[in-house]
Amino acid sequence: MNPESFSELLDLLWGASLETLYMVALSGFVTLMAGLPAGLALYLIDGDGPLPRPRLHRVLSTIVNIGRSLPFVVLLIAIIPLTRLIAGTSLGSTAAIVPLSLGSIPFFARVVEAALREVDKGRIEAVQAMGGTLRHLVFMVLLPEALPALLSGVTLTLVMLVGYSALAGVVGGGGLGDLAIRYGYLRFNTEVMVATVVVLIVLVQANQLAGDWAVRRLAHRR
Amino acid sequence: MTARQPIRIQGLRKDYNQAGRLVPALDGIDLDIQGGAIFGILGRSGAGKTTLIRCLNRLETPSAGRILLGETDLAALGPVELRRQRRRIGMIFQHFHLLHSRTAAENIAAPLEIAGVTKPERQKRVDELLELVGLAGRGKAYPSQLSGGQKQRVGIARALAADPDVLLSDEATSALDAETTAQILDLLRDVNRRLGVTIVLITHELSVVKSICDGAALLEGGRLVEAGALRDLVADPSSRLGQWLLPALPEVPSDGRHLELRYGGRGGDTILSDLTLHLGQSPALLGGGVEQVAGTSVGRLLIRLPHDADLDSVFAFLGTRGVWAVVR
Repeated sequence: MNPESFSELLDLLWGASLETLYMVALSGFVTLMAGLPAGLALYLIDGDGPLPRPRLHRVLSTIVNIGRSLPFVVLLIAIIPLTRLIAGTSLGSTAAIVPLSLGSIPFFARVVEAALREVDKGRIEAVQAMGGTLRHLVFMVLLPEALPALLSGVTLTLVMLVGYSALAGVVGGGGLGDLAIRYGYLRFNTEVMVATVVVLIVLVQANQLAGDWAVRRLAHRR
Repeated sequence: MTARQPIRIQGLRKDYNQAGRLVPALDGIDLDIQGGAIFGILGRSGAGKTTLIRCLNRLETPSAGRILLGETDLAALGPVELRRQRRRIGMIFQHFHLLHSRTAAENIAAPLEIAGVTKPERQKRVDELLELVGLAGRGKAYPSQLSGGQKQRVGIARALAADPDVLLSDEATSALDAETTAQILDLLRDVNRRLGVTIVLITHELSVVKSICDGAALLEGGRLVEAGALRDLVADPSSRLGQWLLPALPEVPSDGRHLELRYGGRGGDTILSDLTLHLGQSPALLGGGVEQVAGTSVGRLLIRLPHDADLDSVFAFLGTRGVWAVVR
């Protein structure tokens, strides 16, 4: 069933875009909520960090590395039982959020860890010398000082999630990538292919520009 | 505030583990710092002075020894009590270490937030501090909008915010130009006089010690070479610090007629004319100078005596004037 008219094409694109946005937004949110504490923990318990727990760090780091080493399409299929357990089903956009999140949490955790490492050690010591607690270290120094880098990391992660979400079609998640594969690739429908590519580019661009704007605004102030 | 707290360091050691070997950075330091004084610790890089000052607020954990601030042994504190005691010790840094996400005022307020001071009180205190360090009206500026000297002023205000007994200065002027350095040193002295806060500073610049310190110590290879009040050091001919603090003298042939004179305080100001009257003819002045050290003028002069001068009588005369002399 090729789209017969322009409006039908628009309907297809609109629906797929909403699915993509839904998946990216929700998995992005979950990634942020889980990846930020994970990255913070990675930084804090590092051997050179403010709360050194080298053995625990090695365990956490290994888990993150395992998560990072699986190609997303493999992860997507490998964790289908887990997806079913969490989402109740292994099919559809909502189910796709489970592998999408699991795939990007380790990535984002590393991004957070790297951003925190860039915070000047002297500023951390300055707050320690004031008698600051761990809470002060995190909320007075680490997060505010790393905020521009963290925002860049969020942009990076969201762009990556748009890419990952293209594979969600494998588990019936729909979205723009799925549309491109089904119409553009399997049915040689060039119009849908081109339109999908255009929408994806616009989506990623908008995301990147918004991120850059926020970072610049912050940097400007400092 | 219980100002003018003395610091007594006893048997302080710090060993670093380098590839399984313990390397001493501080090798048994004993040092008394008078409460309310400005005390300078001099040394080359690698002498251990940074380690020493960082032990004073436990940014480094000492391997052994005691650090008494008043009656409290800082070296023996557990984490909770350490955090509380750290509020008695402010610190300023060579590279300022201000929080870039905060304005000058918010930086200064940070120690107050940690101490749990309420917002209206914080605001009041921050305004006072901005005034004290000469930055009134600049509170809303971010560190990136301030010059090096202004950043250090914010650093000083921040360090003083929680009314500390001690201010530690880790090469605070080493990143600043000469004029700004002089201004910051003036500010430190002013703060010391007004608040009675004990200041411990480390520096590799002799001029810093000369211009504001009451006492000084020399650190070499993790050991204390000497320490004392500046006026005692310059009066002590065997003191290396004393030698450095005094004006340099030119080389002369040792023919028994050249005298080095040293004096501190009032007795020496008119020594040349007094000696001329005593001898009946005037000695030649070959070199030397008078410096302000720890608020008093100290002189070091090289003179050549006339041929027929009687050395014993000259020494006796100089002795009555409290001027130390030696044949060069």
